[in-house]
Amino acid sequence: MKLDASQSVGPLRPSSPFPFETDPIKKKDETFGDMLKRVVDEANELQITADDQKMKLALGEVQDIHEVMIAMEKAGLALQLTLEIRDRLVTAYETLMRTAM
Amino acid sequence: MLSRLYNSLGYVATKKAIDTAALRQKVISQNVANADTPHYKRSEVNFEDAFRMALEKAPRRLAGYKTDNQHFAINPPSDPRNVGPTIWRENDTFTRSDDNNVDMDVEMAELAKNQLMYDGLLESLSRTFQSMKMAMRRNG
Amino acid sequence: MGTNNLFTSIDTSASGLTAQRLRMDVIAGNIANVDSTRTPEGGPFKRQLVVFASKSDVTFRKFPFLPMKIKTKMDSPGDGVKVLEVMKDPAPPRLRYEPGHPDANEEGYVAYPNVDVVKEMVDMISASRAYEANVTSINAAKGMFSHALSIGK
Repeated sequence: MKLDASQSVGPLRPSSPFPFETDPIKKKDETFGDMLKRVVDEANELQITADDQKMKLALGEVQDIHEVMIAMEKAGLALQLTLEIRDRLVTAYETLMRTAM
Repeated sequence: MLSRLYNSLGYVATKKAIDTAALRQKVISQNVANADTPHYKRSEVNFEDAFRMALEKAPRRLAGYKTDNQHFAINPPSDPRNVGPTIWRENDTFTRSDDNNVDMDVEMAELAKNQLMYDGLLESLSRTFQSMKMAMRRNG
Repeated sequence: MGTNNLFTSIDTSASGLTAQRLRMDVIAGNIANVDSTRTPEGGPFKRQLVVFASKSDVTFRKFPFLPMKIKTKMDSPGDGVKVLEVMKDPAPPRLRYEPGHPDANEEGYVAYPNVDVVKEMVDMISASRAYEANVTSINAAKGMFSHALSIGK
């Protein structure tokens, strides 16, 4: 087997049938602003899904309780991520403003 | 951004296994409730075998192929992401005089195993979420 | 065929509890009446038995001549069991030679109920165990449910 630069030197694991595992964090040609928007959109999506699950639960249309709990957890994580990013951006901005001439 | 986690093999397998355990609980309850119903045949849930077969058949990609953004354009039945738990009725196992093939001891054992499995899978999932939260926490 | 919602498992087990409880009541009635040679409708007490059926009864016994696959795929987990009827055992009464008995016939035989106490006791134990098994199922469902509530905690 020829070794070349296109093969990453990472932890040994079988090649995955799940192509999404190799999704880059930042997509090609995406600006920072685009990425931020994408994060917010995803958080929004998950929040909508969680609300939907909560409504279904109240109406008795849910099949398994863990679906609702997982949806809420995912929404919560996404929200937390968004808030973290916002907080750090604000902090970075403030730091920048303090050092400006 | 967290979709990388949610699409990973570990997460997907765990989530599907949880769905399977929940369904299995319902099927076992049905077997137990019908343990004395004439002509009733026990049902069981299959997922593990089907999922494993789908994983073995799925097309491979080179690890480290990082710049390609394609996803599966076709969704063949052996796509592991399409595999879910299915219910099967066992028609041919040994039956008693009322034509019923439920063995209460088997069902009770399956019930216990399933509950432990479900609890373990939930724990695994919870820890995944917990570590994401910790990773996001501000330090300092 | 059936539904699949949040409490399907518990509903199913509850139907099992109800069915087995009814079965136990019927067995208790049989045992209590083991010597009842006289009933309002005439004749000795007739043993009663319960007939169970799955709630969404789509069994193949209605089509006994179709080839049977080893495993059949099902759409839903099913919703439990119901008591179709409480029927009287058609077996003939037991006859005992007791010429002095008020209910004796011309030949001096008394018709006693077609109840075998030993068989009823075995049945009772079976029903009791089945009842307990349904309780175990409900407890398992409750345990799993409350565990799911603490996902992420």
